[in-house]
Amino acid sequence: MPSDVLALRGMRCNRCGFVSTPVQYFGCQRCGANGDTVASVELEGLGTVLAEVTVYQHRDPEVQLPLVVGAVELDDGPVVRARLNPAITAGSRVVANNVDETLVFAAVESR
Amino acid sequence: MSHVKLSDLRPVYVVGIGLHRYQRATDTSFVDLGLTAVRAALNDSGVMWPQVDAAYTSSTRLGMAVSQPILRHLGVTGLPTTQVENASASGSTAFRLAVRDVAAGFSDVALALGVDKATPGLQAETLTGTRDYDDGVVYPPIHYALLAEEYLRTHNATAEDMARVAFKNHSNAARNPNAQRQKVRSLDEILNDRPIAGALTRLECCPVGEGAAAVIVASGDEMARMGLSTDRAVRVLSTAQHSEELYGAKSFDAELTRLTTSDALSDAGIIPSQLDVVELHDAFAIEELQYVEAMGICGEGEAPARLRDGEFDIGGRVAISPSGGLLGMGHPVGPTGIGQIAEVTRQLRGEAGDRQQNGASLGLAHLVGLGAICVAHVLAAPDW
Repeated sequence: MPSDVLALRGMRCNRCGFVSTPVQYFGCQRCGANGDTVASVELEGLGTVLAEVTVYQHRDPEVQLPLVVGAVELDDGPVVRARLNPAITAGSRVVANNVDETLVFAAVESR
Repeated sequence: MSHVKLSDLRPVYVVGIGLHRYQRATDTSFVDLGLTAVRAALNDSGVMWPQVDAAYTSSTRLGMAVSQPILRHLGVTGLPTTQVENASASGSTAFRLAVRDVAAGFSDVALALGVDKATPGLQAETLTGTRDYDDGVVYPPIHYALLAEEYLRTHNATAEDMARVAFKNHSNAARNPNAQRQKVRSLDEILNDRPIAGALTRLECCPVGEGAAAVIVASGDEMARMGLSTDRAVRVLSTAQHSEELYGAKSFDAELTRLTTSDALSDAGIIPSQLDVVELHDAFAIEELQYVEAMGICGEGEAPARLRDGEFDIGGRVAISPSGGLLGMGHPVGPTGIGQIAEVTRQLRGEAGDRQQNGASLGLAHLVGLGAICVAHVLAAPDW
């Protein structure tokens, strides 16, 4: 695995199978299981972009603009909102990358 | 197990409404904002303050114990007061609680008052200790910009179709002396306004200011006892509320709206096509398109065309956001849900002046809120 691919982590519920992200031990949102019945798992960082937009204005002055943000449906199930590399459109296949400790989805190189 | 419906209990009526204009932040004390609205509602209803049995005060950014600093100045009566918070739907929830109190007989006359100042709010979601992968970058304008991008693309609709919502609602708000924004805007002005995210421009996002709104509800029996006229009494037919479930990749606001409005309509014994006026959560222009479809007012994907044809204008088949909605009238949060009830009441009384939807008999008020949650009410005209 290339060193810049970010290992995404989430939770798998061993009672009902629900997969979610981010990691939290509060409990399974689908069935309420907690404790030993839920486990932190590594997720495949692959997914499909559901929607993407360029952000021109942000309430946080620290955020560098313009910024491209998208909703990505991970192959493992959860929908994640995160930064996208520019020029990625909805429907694209993307992979999670680590860019300066931040999750950024980049286009999967076509094979 | 089936729960009690409003129609199983004694009839409840909106007998008085009052507002303080929604506006940008000023130095006006929230006490003055609140008192203006309550006094207007008392005057409108003919009810004297000592006759009010209970008060529900909705507010999101004034901290603890908002009710007494306002209400004691009407002359203390010792009535039970409760502060209500349910994010954007706080006012709707305060109204729901006031209605249920009266319907069940815990109170005969109840006040729902919404008041807020434009200070930054604190959301519990930011304090959970877990961090989402977006690092908090995605906040409402971006969430709805993403929704808009997906909706417009998958429904073959354009940025103009979405801007048309804002055009209508700004035009309606221009006729509303209580609206924060009272300026007619052309479609071009809206499309070319400051871009926020994706296709959303500033004029397609609601202003979050300050204001107040008050509604007084009473039982039919009490109205008779007090000698209040029924000519302007608007009946609350139903109340419904739900919170978010798991919907996969589907829009949670749309799914919540689908279920909650379906409950409200079926409990009221009516179907969507019978609605004459609707006030909904149009904080961002895309939402109106999404919700009129989820409510069954038109079919999936039909909203842009119906809007273009003028069906949702005042004077159209069903007036959507005749007050100007959150986009035009504004979203001071605490008051918003109660302001919606006030507008629907005006419409059903035939007192909406140049915003009047002629012959309005049935109205729906809807809001969603962080959580996410959804609250909906159906109201009927005095002669329905």
